[in-house]
Amino acid sequence: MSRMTPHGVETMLRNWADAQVPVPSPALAQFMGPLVPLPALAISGAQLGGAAVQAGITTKVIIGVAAIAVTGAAVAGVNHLRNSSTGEPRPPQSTAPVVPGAADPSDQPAVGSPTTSAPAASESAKPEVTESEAPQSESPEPTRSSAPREQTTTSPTGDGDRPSTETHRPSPTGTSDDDGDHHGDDDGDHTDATPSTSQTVDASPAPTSEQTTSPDPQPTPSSTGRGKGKGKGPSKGHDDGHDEDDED
Amino acid sequence: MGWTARARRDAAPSHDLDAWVASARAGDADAFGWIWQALSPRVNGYLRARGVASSDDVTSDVFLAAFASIGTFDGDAAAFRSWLFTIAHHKAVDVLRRRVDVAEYVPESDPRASASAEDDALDEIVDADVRAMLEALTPEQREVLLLRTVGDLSIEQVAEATGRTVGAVKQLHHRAVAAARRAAESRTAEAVVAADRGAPDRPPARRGAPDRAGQGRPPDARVKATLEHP
Repeated sequence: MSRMTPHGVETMLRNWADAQVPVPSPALAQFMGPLVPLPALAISGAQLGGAAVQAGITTKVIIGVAAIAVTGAAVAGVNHLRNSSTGEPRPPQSTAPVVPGAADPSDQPAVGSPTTSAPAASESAKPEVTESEAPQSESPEPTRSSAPREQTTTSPTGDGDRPSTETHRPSPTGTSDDDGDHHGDDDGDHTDATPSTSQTVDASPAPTSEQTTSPDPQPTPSSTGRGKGKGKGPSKGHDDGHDEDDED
Repeated sequence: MGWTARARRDAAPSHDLDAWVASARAGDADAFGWIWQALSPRVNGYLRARGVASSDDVTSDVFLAAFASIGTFDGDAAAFRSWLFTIAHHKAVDVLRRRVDVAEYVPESDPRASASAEDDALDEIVDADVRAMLEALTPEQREVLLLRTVGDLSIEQVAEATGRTVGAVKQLHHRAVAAARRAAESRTAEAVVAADRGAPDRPPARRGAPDRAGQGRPPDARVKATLEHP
């Protein structure tokens, strides 16, 4: 059983009394002239703070609010850095990953700059979830399906990255991802990609592509894959592919 | 509008009350506002705890009386506080006396005869926890405890305000604090028992008091044992 001290009794009464802020009568307000305080101002900050601290709530509330504020600011800052790190902030890029399926068909040609590919890959982390589901859902597939087909064709060529890249560009933001993955797969992961799935069936020659297709949306680093070819491109492709595989 | 600006700028620290009283005596309206801000919650709380129904209006009356005659006041902040609460005490006595006068028209067979007018008002004015403590006190204990704690008056000032001796005030204050402690602890125990039973409603605030509406619940055995052997 909790014991209350005499000081606790007095504190309880004082705290309660401090909260009993009256509203001055018109006669008193007239007596004090225009200086009559608003009811809300009749409580001083010190009184509020003291009462709240004594109640034991303020500290926790303040800490909680501060933690939330700091966390939110950190998240906002990270997001801002992500968006800004790409270099030129492009509204279509930012919007593209958010809406993976819908934005693809129209915006693809414009987006395909190589510089954007890398940031897109970094941002693709969130879309990954949708992408992992994407192979089942058909909305992302059409663009991808086209891409993998062409990729598959390219994959046998092996070195023929140029045509493949060109074909990939049309595939939108996702295409950039596709490019990266495909290249990575093509270069390094052929063995890994070998287990072909339904989509790959279309691109029959490219068993490699199939995993790439599933990872399609994520691996943006197409540009890297294209220009440098197999050295660096694959590494990124591997990372993306692994992530996707893990997620899947 | 300078008052509002100042009100936002800073609270009303008690150590400035001396300066405000001096300024108020000189007729400074700003000082009246500051004094109102600093002391009106306590005065209002005192009146509410005493069972004054229209405590806001009575609080304004107290400050009006104080401001109107502040020219005759001579003393520091502590003396002004004591003076102000003495006015509030007399106002409360007047209001409660009027309520008792009105209560004389109630038939003698009224089952509420055992309850005072202050208790009736407390049911509507004061929060449950504070009410539980105050209802465990006699009117004299309540008066002394409130002046001592809410009014921050010394024992001597309370004695002067209530017209009692210092020894009587000390005794009343001591017993009031003890009774308030017991009431608070028993209320906590009842809340714990109620929580154990899963009862959403809070325990009755008044311990051992007759149920005015005749709808009192029989005390639970565990609560009874807890109250008897805290």
